[in-house]
Amino acid sequence: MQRRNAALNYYYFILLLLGVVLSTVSRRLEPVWVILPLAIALLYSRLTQTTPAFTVRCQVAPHRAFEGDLLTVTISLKATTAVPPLELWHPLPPEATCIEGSNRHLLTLRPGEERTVQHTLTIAQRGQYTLGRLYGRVHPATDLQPILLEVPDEQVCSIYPRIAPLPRHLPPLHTYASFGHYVSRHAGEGLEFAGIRPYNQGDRLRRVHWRTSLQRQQLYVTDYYCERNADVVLLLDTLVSIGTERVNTLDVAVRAAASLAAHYLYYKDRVGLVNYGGVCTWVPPAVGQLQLYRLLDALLETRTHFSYLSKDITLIPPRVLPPGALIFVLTTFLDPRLETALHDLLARAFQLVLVVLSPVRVMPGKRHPRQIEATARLWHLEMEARMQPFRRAGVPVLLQTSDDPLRDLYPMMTRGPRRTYVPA
Amino acid sequence: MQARHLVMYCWFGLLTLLWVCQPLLVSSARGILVLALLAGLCALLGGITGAQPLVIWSGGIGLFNLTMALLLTSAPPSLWLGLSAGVTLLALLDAQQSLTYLRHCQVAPGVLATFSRTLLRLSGLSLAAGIGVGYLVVALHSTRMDTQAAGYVTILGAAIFVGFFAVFLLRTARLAALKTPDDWGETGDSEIR
Repeated sequence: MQRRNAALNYYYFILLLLGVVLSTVSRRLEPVWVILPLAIALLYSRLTQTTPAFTVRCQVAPHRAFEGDLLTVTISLKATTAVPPLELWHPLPPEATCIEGSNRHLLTLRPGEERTVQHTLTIAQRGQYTLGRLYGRVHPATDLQPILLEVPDEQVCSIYPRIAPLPRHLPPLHTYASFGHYVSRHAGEGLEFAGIRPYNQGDRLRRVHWRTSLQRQQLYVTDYYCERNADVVLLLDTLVSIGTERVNTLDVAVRAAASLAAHYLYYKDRVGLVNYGGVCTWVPPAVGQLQLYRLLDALLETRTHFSYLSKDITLIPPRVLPPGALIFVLTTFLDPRLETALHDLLARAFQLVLVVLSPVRVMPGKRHPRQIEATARLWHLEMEARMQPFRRAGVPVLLQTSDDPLRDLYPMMTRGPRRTYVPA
Repeated sequence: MQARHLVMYCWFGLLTLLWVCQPLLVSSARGILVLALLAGLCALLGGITGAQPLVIWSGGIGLFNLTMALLLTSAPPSLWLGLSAGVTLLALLDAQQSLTYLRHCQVAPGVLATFSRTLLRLSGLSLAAGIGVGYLVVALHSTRMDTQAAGYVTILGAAIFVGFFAVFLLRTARLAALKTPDDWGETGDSEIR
């Protein structure tokens, strides 16, 4: 804790000087009487210098949340001596908004008193934020020489991209024999009931259907359908990001990727991530809740790294891009370097789904609706022309038309036959 | 919360009115009236926007206005006029600070009462000091000094008074390494000083 002069000291002294000068010049005593309370306040602030004893703790919960979730900041105070008016400030990042309460508190404490104050905030953008650092100012007697304190109770909070549920499931073309939500037409190991058939040599005893066997006086076994799952890879184009710090295409892509990841992991598919940009990073496909958090952590770090070099997609190891995987490509398609990579993937018979994000939706500044509409139509026409080779190859292409880029995914994926890719 | 805001704004408005009307008790000349209006405008703007320098400007203009009004009317010295104006000015500055706190902070019960207690204590001390200064001046006046010597003594006294204060403030100044949060230049509310 340290004392520091407030700006008010200088203002008081200026008024004091003015009063004395006016009094001397006018040879009247009233100006001195006017500035006398200010002089007394200056003297009083210097002569009463008590240092209060108290402890401050700050707790932020939870440490992991999604965009728009509520975070509660709890500040606990315990006073040993009486505490004069104490101002506590919890600085917030620009992306945060205080929903309930205030991040500035002004309070007094009696000796031995314990008090807890809270405020609730929400953070609108993904990222890792350091919260919990408090600044305090104690005002003993007057506001002229406050005692300053700093409470470095820093805690890192991870704010994950918001996950929007997909209304319908989009099953991949290729599946693998493994546990999952897809049921094969063939009987095998699984949980879904397929039928009852007579016992054959080699059938497991635990599969014997005793009720039917007793009725028919012959051994019968239960058959199950084979379970299968699929590989889904989310290919995020981090070559270009359009928009502002707050609203940009990369954030829209990251939110869409998080939604897709959560959706396919729920259906027990193996989901992986590839950040394709100046720096190429990836998360190999895997299943489960842990994988979801692995992917979210990777999405948290996703940034645009500008580079003139483009990474060759063939360098990505096969365990990251398993053969036959369903690949969702989330891109603005503004950098032509991605096209080469996509042609390469098509040639390797991957099932591709192109989600093209519109830069019109994140354009900064206020524009006339007609201007926005014209820009959107121009963008749409240009993209339609550029997407023709992919459409001809049977790749479903979704051009963003609303704030949620995945809104029209289901109708688009269930429309028309799939064609095989013929390299140009 | 809103009621507390309203009460504070009313209190600030009342103090501004009192501060502005002090010179008008002595004279209602057009110049004095204009200066009074200017002081009132500065105080109100400072209170509404939370800009402390504006309230200080209002203090300076009001002080000058009061002196001019007294000079123009050659009214007899009035301890109560000066002291009431001084206490009003102190309360005005204090109310502006409280308003800023109310606007930006979540104020716990009992804080404004603590501020009021300090203000009352300072007012009491000011009253005692004012009466003391009054007696001192009367005692000095009775020593029958000639006009030139009295002028020199006044200038000397003023210089000693200001010099003492300057030295005292410099000696007790605390320029701590730890800055106020607002000095960090972080975005947010930075009006509280």
